[in-house]
Amino acid sequence: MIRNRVLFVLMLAAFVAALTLPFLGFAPNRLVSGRAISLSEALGAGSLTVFLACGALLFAACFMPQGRALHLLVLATALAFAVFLPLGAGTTATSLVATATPIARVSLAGGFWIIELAAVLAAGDALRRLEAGLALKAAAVIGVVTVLVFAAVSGAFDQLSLAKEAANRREAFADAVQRHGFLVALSVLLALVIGLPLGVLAQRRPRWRDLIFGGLDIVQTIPSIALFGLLIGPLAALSDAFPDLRRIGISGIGVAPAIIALVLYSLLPMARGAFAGLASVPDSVVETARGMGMTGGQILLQVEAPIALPVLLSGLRIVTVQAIGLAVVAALIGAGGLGSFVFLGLGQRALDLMLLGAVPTIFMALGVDFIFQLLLGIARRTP
Amino acid sequence: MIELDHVVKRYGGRGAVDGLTLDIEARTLCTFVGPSGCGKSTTLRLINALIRPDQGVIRIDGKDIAELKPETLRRGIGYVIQSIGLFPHWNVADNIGTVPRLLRWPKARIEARIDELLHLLRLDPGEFRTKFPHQLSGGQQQRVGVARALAADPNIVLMDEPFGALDPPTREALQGEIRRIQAETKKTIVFVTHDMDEALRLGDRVAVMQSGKLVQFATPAEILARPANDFVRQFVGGADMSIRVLAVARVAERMAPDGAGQGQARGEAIREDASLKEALTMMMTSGRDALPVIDQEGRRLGIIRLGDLAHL
Repeated sequence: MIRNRVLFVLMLAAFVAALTLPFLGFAPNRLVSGRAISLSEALGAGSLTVFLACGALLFAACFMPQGRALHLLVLATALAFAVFLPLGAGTTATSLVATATPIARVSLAGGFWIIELAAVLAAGDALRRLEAGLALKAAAVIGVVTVLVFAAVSGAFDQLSLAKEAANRREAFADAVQRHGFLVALSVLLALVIGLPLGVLAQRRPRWRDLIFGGLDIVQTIPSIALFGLLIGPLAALSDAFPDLRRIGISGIGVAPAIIALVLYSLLPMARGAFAGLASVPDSVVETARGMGMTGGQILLQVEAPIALPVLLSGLRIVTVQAIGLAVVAALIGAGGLGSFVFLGLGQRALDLMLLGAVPTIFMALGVDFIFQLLLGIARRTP
Repeated sequence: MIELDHVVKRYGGRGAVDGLTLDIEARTLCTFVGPSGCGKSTTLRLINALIRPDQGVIRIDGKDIAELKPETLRRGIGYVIQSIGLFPHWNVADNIGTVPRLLRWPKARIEARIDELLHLLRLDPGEFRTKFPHQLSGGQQQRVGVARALAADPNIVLMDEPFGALDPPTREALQGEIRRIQAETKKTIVFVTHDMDEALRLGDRVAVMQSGKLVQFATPAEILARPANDFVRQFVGGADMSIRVLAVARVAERMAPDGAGQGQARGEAIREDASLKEALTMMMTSGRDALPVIDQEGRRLGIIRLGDLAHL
C-alpha cells in the first residue's frame, strides 16, 4: 500500500526522467545542438550507486509506516539529493570539458531539472509532514544554499555552460540582478505607499470600495505586455511636452513605464491585503478602543495595524513575488533586468542564455518568499 | 451625577431613544433593563459620546458633554461590553494599562495600578500579568475587561450587558464582584442588561425601558411592590414576583429584635444583610422555622421566623 502518495509521484517522475531524458547536453560550441548524456553516463559507477541507493530509500519510504523518524530520514535524504545532483553535474562537466576544446559546452538538460525539482519538492513535503517550525525550515534552506554557494565559489560549477554564460557576461549579469532588484524594490515600495491608503479607504468608506477594487480589477486583467506597450505612448508624449521630465529619466521606454506598470499590477493585491487585514480586526476591539478614548490614529496604529499585520504581510508577499516575475517582461521596453537575458536568449535560440535570466529570477522569488514566510511566522507568534 | 434631558436618538425615522429624561445619582449603581431594541444600549453609548443625540442634552456633573472633546470625555469613563474586546496582541498588563498610558501616567504608577486592579478583581498578578487574552477563560477575560475599565480610576463606569455571554455560576460570581467593587470604590455605575433578575439584584435604582421610553425608574423593592404598568408587571414576571422580592429584601427589614416577645431561636445564625431568599434556604436545609440574626461583627440582634418572610 502506498502510504505517502506525494513522495511516490515525485519519485516516479524522477525515475522516469532518469531513464528517458538526457541528464546533460554536450556540444562542441554554444551554437550547435549537442549530444545527450544520460544519468548513468554522467555519473561514474561510484556516484551512481550512491544515487540509486538514495532513490531506493526514498522509494521504500513511500510504503513504510509514516512517522517523525521516517519524515526526518526522507528530509535528510532529499536534501542530500538536492545538493549532490548539481555537484555531480559540475564534476562531470569538468571532466568532459577537459577532453574537448575550450569552447565546448556542457549544459544541464531536462533530466537534471526534473530530478532536482523532485528532490526539492520531496524535502518540502517532508517539512510539511513534520509540521516543522521556523528553525528547522530555516536550517534546511540555509544549509543547502550554503553548501551550493560554497561549491560555486570554489569553482565546482565553472565548466557548466550556465556558469560560463554568467562568467562571460559577469558585469552585465551583476547589473541585471541589481536592476531587477531595483525595479522590484521601488515598485513594491510605491505600491505600499499608494495601496495601503487605498485599502484603508475601502475599509472605512464602503461607498468607495466598489470603485477602488473595480478599477484595480480592470488593471489586473490587462495582459502585462499590453500594459507595458500601452504606457509607451502617453509617457513619450509627456516627455516630449516637458523636456525636464526626460532629464530625470522619464520617457516612453525604460525604467519609468516599467515601474508604473509594476506598481499598477501590485496595487490590487496590496489594497486587498490591507482591506482584508483591517476586516480581520474584531468589531468589539475597535468599539472598546473608541470607548476608552483612543483617537482614530491611535486605533489604526496601535490596535488595527498590529492585528492586521499577518494578513498584510501575506498580501505583500504576493505582491513582491509577482513583481519579481513581471519585471522579466519589463525588459521588453528597455527597462533591463534579468528579463534582458531571457529575451536575448529567445532571439538567439540560446537556451543557456535564457536560463541565465530565468534561474536567478526563480531563486530571487523563492528567496523573497522564504523571507516573508519567516516574517509571517514571527508576526503570528507575537500575538 | 449624570443628567439626561429630553434626549432623542433616531435611526431611520424610528426613535431608538425617544425623549428620555432621568438623573443618575453619583456613587450609585443604576441598571437599565428592557427587551432587545428598547434603547438601553443606545442610551449608554450616548453617555460616552460614541453616538450623538439628535435632540436633548446630556450633562455630567453639570457640564454638557457635547462641549467636551469626545476622547477626553471617554478617557474619564470606564467602558465594558458583552464581547469584552480585549486587545488580542497585548498581554493582560498592557490591556489594563491602556487608558493610563493614553493619559501619560508615569510608568511606575501604571505598573502599581495594574497590580492593584488585578488584586481587586481577584487575579494573581504573578500569574496573569503576562498572559494573553486567548489564554484566559471567558470569566477571567471579563475580569480583565472590568479591571481595564477601572484603570484610570474614572468616576463613571458604563457596562453594556457585561456578563451576558458568561455561564450562570461565573455570572453570579462577577455580579458579586461588581457589588463589592461599587461598595468599596463608590463609582457611579450604569449597567445595561436584559435580565430582570440581574437588574434587581445589582441596581440601587432600576430604569425599565420600552420602545425608547422610560417606563419606570425606582428602587428594586418599589418596582416589585408597585409596578408602573402591565408591561413592568409582566417583565418582572407575574407569579415569580414574590420569589424576586425575597431575593431583593434584606433580613434586617423583617426581623424582630430580641426581647420583643418572639422567643429565642437556636442553631446557625444568619447575617442581617443577607437576603430573605438566603434565610428561606437556610430554614429549609436545616429544617427550622426560625433563625437567630446577627450583625456583621457577629453580635446577636434578634430572630426571624418563617411567617415573617410571607408579609409582602
